Parts: sequence; structure tokens; C-alpha cells
Amino acid sequence: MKEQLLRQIESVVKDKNITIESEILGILDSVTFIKIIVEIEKTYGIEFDDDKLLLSEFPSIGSLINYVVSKIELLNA
Amino acid sequence: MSKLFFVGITDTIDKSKFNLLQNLVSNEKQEKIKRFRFDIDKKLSLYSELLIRIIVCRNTDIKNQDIVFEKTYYGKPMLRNLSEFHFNISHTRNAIAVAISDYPIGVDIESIKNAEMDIVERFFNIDEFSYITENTSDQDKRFYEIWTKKEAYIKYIGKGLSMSLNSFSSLDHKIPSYFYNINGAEYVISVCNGTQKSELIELSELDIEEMSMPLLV
Repeated sequence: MKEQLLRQIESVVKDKNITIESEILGILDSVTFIKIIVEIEKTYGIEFDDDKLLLSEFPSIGSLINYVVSKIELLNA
Repeated sequence: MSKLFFVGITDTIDKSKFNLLQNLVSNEKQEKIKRFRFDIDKKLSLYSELLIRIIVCRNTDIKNQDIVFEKTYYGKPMLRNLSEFHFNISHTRNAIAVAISDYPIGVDIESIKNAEMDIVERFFNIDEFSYITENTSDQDKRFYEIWTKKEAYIKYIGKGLSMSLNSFSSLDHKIPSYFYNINGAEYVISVCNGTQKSELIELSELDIEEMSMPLLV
């Protein structure tokens, strides 16, 4: 699942060099970040909490992916 | 008083010049700049801070080395011991916008690309939706106009975390937007400071470099 999320982020950003460790700052601008959220929400049927709609909430791509995974797990619990 | 500075920034980096200019910012900032993968991001980050430093040094008795950037509880950048100096920074690929004022201010700049209708549906309210979709030939421009108005408003309020994109309509507030063409790209900048219009000042990258030099001594 984490790998799939990473591929999805790559396709929105159009950058093949993204890793779990990549810092969000410097890769994503705010519009691209929100675009990723909208795509992930649609794919997995989850909704980001309002306080997680900010770039500054996620220091790395990995932290964003972990948040999404926790949301999906909650959905399936 | 409210001023909006707009600066086009090129992709190329002159290492010796860049390293020299980096001496004007804190070690912490230099470390942050080092972590950016692309030269353009390093430049956007450094040059926007230099512009603030130039403005402060030119308008007050404060020396560059005494300027300390801090953040409010909610994460809005401010200057230590200069709480009456309000500023806000935004950058996008190849351009910087810096707004200054005697009162709180928020600014956002974006280059105009294709409208993201998925974002409109998820995050924009009905008035904003209508404004963007009522005129199909202007859709891209209007999407980025609304987007920057929303960001500028959130940054003006300065309570980052507690405010989401969909909690208000940017059209309920007076948030002027300015359209600019530079180096073949079109930009929109929105500035929110309550009511006032801002005086627009366009600078070049070279202007920033030249105005930084006196600060080095």
C-alpha cells in the first residue's frame, strides 16, 4: 500500500525521484499538495482532517503516507 | 502603508555570488537552504529573506545581523523585537512576492496553469465555484485568483493550523489580486490586509543582489 501511495504521489508531482524520506518542502507547492490529497481521498474513500490540510503538517513524504495508511486502517477497522 | 514587491527569479545559480549572499542569513536558514534539492528553491528561499532584510535595514536603524526571524504560536513568520513591522512572503517557481505593512498582512503568488476542478469541488464554496465556472474562457485565471485569495486570507489571519481552505469564501472579503507577466509566464498575486490596496513595486533578481551588497559590510 505504501508503495502504491508513493507511485500515486509521483504521478501527480511528475517526479520519479521521490522517496519515503523526501522532504515535502521543496518538492511540493501548495496546489500540488492539495491535488495529491484530493486524488488520495477519491482513491481510498477517506477524508483528511481539516488540520491536516497544510504542507507544514508533513515534514516528509513518509509522514504523509503514514497518515493516509492510518486513515485507511481506521476505515477498515 | 502597504507595499507589494514582486521579483522574477531565474533557474540558474552563480555559486560564488550565492555563497556570498548566504552570509547575510542565519546559520539555521543556511542549513534549511542546503536541504533543498533544486537550485531554484534555494534561490527563492534566500532571495525572499534578503528582500525582507533589505527593507528593514533601509527603513530602520536595525543592522542586518540583529534581524532575527521568529514564528508566532500559530507559525506565522515575524521579526523579533519588531512586532509592528508586518510582512509576508510567498514564492512559486520563478517568482517571489513580498508584502509589507503597518498591519497584519498575507500574500500568495501562483503561476497560472490549468484550473484544478477537483480542488474546486472539494475545497471551494458555492460562490467561489460559480465565479470560476461562469466564464469558461477565464477558468484557469479565475481558479488561481481564488486560490491565492484564499491562501492570502489564511496567511493574513495567521492562524495556520486552525483554519481550513473550505471554512470561508474568499469573495466575502476585500482581497485585491494583481496579474503579472514575466519571462513568458503569467502570475497572479493576492494580498490581504483588511482593506487597503498595496503599492506595487517590481524588482529584478539583480536589484536584490545589488541592494544586499551594502549589508555585507
